[in-house]
Amino acid sequence: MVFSNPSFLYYFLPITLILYFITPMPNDSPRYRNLTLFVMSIIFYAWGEPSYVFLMAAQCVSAWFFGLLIERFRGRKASKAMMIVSACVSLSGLLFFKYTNFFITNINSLFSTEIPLISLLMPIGISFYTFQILSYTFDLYRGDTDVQRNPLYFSMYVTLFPQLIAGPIVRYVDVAREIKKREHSVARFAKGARRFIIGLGKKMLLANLFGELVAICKDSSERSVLFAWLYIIAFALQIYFDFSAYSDMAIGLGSILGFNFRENFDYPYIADSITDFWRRWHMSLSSWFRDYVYIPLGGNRVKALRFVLNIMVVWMLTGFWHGADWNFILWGGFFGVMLLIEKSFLSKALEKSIKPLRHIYVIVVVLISWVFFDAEGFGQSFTTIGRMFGAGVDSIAGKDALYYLWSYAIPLLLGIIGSTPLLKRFANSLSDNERSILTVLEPIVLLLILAASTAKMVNGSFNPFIYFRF
Amino acid sequence: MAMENHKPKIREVLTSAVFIIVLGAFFILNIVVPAPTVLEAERRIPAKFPELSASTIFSGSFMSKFEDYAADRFVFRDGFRAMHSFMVFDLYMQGDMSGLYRSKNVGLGEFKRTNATAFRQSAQKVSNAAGIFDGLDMNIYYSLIPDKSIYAENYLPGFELDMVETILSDVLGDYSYIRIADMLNASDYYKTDLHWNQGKIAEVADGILSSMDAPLASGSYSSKEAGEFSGVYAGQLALPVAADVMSYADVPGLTVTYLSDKTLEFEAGLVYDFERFDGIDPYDMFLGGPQPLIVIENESAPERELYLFRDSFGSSLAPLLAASYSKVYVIDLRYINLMLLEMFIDFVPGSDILFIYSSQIFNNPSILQA
Repeated sequence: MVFSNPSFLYYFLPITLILYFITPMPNDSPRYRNLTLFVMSIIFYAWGEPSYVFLMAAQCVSAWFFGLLIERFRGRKASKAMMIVSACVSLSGLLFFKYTNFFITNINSLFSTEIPLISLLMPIGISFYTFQILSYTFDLYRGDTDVQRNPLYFSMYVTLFPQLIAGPIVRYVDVAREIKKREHSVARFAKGARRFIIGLGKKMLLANLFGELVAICKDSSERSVLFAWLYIIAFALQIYFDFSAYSDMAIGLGSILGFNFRENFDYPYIADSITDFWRRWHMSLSSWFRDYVYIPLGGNRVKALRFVLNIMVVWMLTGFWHGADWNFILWGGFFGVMLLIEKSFLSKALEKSIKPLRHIYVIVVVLISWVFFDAEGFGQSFTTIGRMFGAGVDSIAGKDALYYLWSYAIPLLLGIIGSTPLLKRFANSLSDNERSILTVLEPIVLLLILAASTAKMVNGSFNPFIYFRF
Repeated sequence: MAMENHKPKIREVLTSAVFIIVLGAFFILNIVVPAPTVLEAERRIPAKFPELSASTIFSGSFMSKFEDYAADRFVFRDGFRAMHSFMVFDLYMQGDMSGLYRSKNVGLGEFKRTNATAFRQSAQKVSNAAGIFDGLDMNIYYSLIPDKSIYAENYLPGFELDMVETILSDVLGDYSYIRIADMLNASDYYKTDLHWNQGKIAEVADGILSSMDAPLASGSYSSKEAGEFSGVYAGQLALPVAADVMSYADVPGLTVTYLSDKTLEFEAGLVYDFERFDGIDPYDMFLGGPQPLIVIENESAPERELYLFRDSFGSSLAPLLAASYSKVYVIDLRYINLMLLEMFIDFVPGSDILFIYSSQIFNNPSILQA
């Protein structure tokens, strides 16, 4: 089930909220509400993946059980063994469903074998919930969190529907306290509702439009410089608004239900270096790799060659997490190389340069990275990059490219403005007292966004979530 | 319920209220208000509530069908669709909405990317159909009805006339091409529909007749009005636009028989079925809408036969051509297979054969049974 759909927004969500808030909280304990959330989360997941519910349930039981053993053997070698076994079991599902065909294809290419591919759909959200489970296993082993002895609570954490299928990657340690005790209030509800509606608007009123433009550019027979730039700018905006919208909606729903999820985006396109970009983009994933892969490998406190290796391993894995294809590994490796270049000399040079130049540098590098990300094969990547810079084109700007530039001018402009903190700063600049215009303006604007998003939903237009395929 | 201890701000109360009221109201309305039996503006039957069973749930079909059902039965659906169109055209100022456009001179329409492969395949099918007349000394012609978007005052992408004419010429070069693109203009098409206006294509009909060395006939009929109608795009775009006026040519002396798909016999019918004008697709009033095979006879016309392979545009063109032929066989290969034609038609050698299709048909080769 996707958030931007009438069946979620006007059937599932009202039913879930009614059931959740009428569920009693004896002694301020949310244990019954946890049960309600668990049941509704299972329904939410089963709506899109009925058969894979059992896989997810098995993963939950396995991680919960090995968690008990990690705790039981704490201080002994067996604890480490349990952690490794638990991690292997958790990763096995991800490796099998997401990466088997990648390995088979490459083995077939290398050794001229004909091993048949498996024909199984990848369970939605498996990359996200596997990483959530792993965070619990690793944190528990390291003693950063307490063991969860209640299988229902642990399963509720893994399956919690707001963040189940497209993140952000919520670590157990971040919500452990709220599983046992959490607070609800009008302020928290309003904050969550506001965040959810803004996310819905970003998805329905901007991201989907950019998705349409991307599809048009890819489908066109026109080969022009303008079309190549239109395509990649639209894709950059689509992926940002699509993914950050989902995070907004997840964080908003979490707030309504009494949870505080970590932020996942912080206006990444205003970054002034690639290092800064990755502090702002998909923060829950980059911090996951930092804490559970990069630092255990030694981080930067190692010899230079090992440091280079650590960076490249982490970033190629980051790319591989996004998809089982070489273009994703190339995409991750590209960022690894850029980060190494920045750390070796470019950062200092950038610091001395003027700010606009630093932003242009980031935007160009990131746009090129999105070409690798979205391409089907290396050849297509280099063809598109070539066209961006005038190679292999018929014209600078053809009729179709000009038509679509004008047709999408306002959405593109809104997207560019919306990917900066300008609107947020404007809203913050308005006084927040009861007599402020914000008191009536905010509900009205949110109502309009909700109505416009519903209109787009009902019209049944283009509506995929990019990050579902991860 | 554990509550944080501070008095909520009015803004927070209002924001929460908006969220709860909107979700709650539509949740209730979507359950209480009966689902529509037909989506009139969109000219289609809405998705029905799916069958609920263990197998439909585990296969996922219940869920996917429920999504369609929920969208189709959404209360105030047409109002929301109108709001969406308003956003696209008046707020975002976009040129089109997934190909559906609004243009001052041609009105509402839809452009689709010209698929060269599709055109080539369709042309090949026309060539296959023409092949059955080998040895009959027929005069074979073909023509293309251009999408009205090419007559828009502003550039609209999609249809590329030069490209498709080159493809057609490549595949159908053995036959005579009748170019009608120059005989048409924006006002010859309805503003809310994809079709042309029969009352305004007399020049096109004469142009075609002239190319086939048949007598011109536009002087023998007059144009009349059937009434106002809103075409297919008015419903799809849900925009407040003025209705079109359906006009038709009153060609004297025509009698029509239709091949019944039930009895496989020819049955008498009407050139213009005005009852259908009030149906879901008013354009079906021309020669009864979708029909596999029709025979139009005209006792006062010269003794010659025409075999017209056509789509819905041809329904309104055929009566105008019939003014110059004693017999016109109107054949729609979307509804009858080429191989079955000889069961129903005794082809007269030396007759005229015209293949005339709109760009939409050429762009969709799978629907021609040839």
